[in-house]
Amino acid sequence: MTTYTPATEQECAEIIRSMNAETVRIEGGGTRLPLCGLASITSRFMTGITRHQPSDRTISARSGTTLAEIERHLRAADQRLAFEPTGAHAASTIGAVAAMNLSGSRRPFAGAARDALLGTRFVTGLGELITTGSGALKNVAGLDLTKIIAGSRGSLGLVTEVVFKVTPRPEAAETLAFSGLAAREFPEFAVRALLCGAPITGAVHLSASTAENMSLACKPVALLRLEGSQIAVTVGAAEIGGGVSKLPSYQAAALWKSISDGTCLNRAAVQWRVSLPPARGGVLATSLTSLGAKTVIDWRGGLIWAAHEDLNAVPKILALLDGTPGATARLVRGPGTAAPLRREPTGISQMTARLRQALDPKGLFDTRHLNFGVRV
Amino acid sequence: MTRNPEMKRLDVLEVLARVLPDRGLITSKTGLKPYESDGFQYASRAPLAVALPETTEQVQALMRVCHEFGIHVVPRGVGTNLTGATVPVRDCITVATSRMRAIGHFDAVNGTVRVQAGVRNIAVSDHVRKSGWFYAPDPSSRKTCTIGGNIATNSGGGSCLRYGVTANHVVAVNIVLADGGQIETSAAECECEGLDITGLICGSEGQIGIVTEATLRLVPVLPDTLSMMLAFDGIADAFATSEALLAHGIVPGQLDFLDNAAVRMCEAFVPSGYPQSSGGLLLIQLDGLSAEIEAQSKIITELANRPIKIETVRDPEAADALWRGREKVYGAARRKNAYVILDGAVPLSRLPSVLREIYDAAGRAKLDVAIVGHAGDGTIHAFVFHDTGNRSHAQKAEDCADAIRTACARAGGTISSEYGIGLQKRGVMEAQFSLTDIDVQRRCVAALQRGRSLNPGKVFPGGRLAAE
Repeated sequence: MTTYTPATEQECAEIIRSMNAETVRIEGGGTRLPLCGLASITSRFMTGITRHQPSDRTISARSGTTLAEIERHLRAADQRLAFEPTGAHAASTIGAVAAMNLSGSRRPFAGAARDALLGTRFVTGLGELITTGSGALKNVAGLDLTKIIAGSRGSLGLVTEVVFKVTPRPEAAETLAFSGLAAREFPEFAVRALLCGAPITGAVHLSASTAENMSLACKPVALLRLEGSQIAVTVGAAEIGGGVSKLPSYQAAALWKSISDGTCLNRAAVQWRVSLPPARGGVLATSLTSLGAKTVIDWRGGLIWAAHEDLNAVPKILALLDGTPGATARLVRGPGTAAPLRREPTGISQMTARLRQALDPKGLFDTRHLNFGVRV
Repeated sequence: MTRNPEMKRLDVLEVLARVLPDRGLITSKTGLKPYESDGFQYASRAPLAVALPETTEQVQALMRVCHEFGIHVVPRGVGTNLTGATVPVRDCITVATSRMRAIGHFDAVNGTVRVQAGVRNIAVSDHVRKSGWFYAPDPSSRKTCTIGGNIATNSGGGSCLRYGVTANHVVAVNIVLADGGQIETSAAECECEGLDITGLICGSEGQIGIVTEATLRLVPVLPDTLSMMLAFDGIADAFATSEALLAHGIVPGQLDFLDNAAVRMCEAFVPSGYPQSSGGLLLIQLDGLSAEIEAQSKIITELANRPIKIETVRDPEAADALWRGREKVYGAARRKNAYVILDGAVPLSRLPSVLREIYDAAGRAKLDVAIVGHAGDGTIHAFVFHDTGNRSHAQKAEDCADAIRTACARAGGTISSEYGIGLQKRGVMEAQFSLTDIDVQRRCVAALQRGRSLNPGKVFPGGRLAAE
């Protein structure tokens, strides 16, 4: 099938304008979506940082710029993307980070990718080149389409440029480990720590088997990451107190990356990512563990990574996931039959369809990977 | 059969009275008077009636009636909007959510609270503070403005630097559409599946639907707070200092600047200890652990670029007194003269050059200007003064304000960072967006409106939706 490789946003708009009834898939670095027999447009040749004045606390870049390049550039200015982009592959692009709304462990404390996305340039299904948002840190002018472009997974348009908010890198970081804490107790434990004023930027819980895999302990472990000034981290750790051990910084950095990416569960036969209200995270993780799953609770309870080696356990786990109120689960690895039933709140699917009709009336952009209400 | 307009008017009022609670429909001339305008001084019109629902079901019922009769609807909180976004259009029903004041379930583990749209911003924090949480978005009208209005304009204030704007703190909304249908946008998940419709509704200025309830995300109250005032000879030194402290990794809860005209204006209204000779003043609130903010205040003192006065206060009452002048800036401006207030924002590095452009534009127009703003997010609140009751002078001030908004957009920023577009700025939308951008925004609003009758004539140049 044809792969279009525009080098500029104008080329991109021309290609889309010239299309009629064909379905096309939008790709960034090609690191996530499998080949699907469709024509594709890749943004990976639209590259380059277009503006980065460190004192603005923003960075603008063409969508095909790799995340690795962005992070290198920001590191040189002692800055970073606070939302901790996940799943970073060397070829992952900043456009894909925006389109997928990929946020890591810092998400409940520093906001999601969509919160840091200040503006975009994107091409609609009619080939219109659109600007959303602005280069300022705050903008409320007009209908802010930035909000729906973030996380739209290429279903509304092809993002050609993004503006992200950036923050200074913290002076100090510390990871505190609490052994033996049951998953069920974790959400309340994390809230107590948060409310004592410590600069927490990560709160996860590892089931015993996961902790053992990661050479941490043979029992469940809760981890709290503190980041900020040296004094805030030191005093914050003392405020939290408890029977705590501190992880060496080299171990902590690798560990947080593997948690945010979900790779800490190794390559199990089947793996899910479940988003839910934080207060319910402990109970669901406990139930999953009782079915033999390895679990990691992230986002202080709001995100669960679950993995299982035995495909025979899949039906029971799916029943659990499908029956948990407020939970939305996504299959990360495994056979299509292990995909949870994906739910869109009532009414939202209609609004989504209307927005797609407004932005892509010819239905060019592939949306099959977004199917709701079916096992994919 | 086409209804006689007068019959239609009487019919709709009769039917509306049936679906609303006692005293829930205002039709008298004197009763309508407060609803003719909002915080925007330059437009007013009486609505056909004002509906004051108390529940989502009542909003649904009245929207169905308006939809059936083809009546336009203008949503409203308590009318603190500064852009005319809640000014009635001809023969409309104004739906004021001010009686929807119930605070529902507060979840101390999830850090969320459910509220009706008419709950005042400050009431949310008052409700949850004893449990260690608060609601961070802080428009200057927070003591009176409603959550529904905040969501409609995606409003925010000085605390957005540290905590983000309204959209970052709304987990889900219940919204009633023009045809009376209602949608709950998410199931209070941390990360919803599908498009972020909640985020899109934030800032849509009541054109997609009427928000009746919302689940709000709260943030922890930090243990200690400290306020600082740093006065400088010139505004450039103030900006150099704010840039240095942000680069150092200090993220204050508030970081505001005042130029000399604003310092003098505020001091004349509420003496707060601001040196009248100061050409640039920074007001800073640090929130955090006691040891942390003590250390930060020392660092800021060291980083300050040629200060003429630094004052640090720990006592809450002294801190209130220090901030009082800044908080009363609108009153101070009103006492000085009539004004047009701006809310543009620019990339932080462009603050000094855009301020120079503002002074030049005001100088050319021979108008007084005073500027306060948020040095951490680039928001510029410029007061452009004109003589009360002098129409041509007022128009001159509006023209000058539009030139300033255009300068903000040209600098890579925005014509509005806090108040929204409403009636006031729709003519200058093209300074920030291309005609195609605007048309695509219109298409999306038209696609989401069921009935195309919600708050027409606002936001977009020309005032009509594409599909109308």
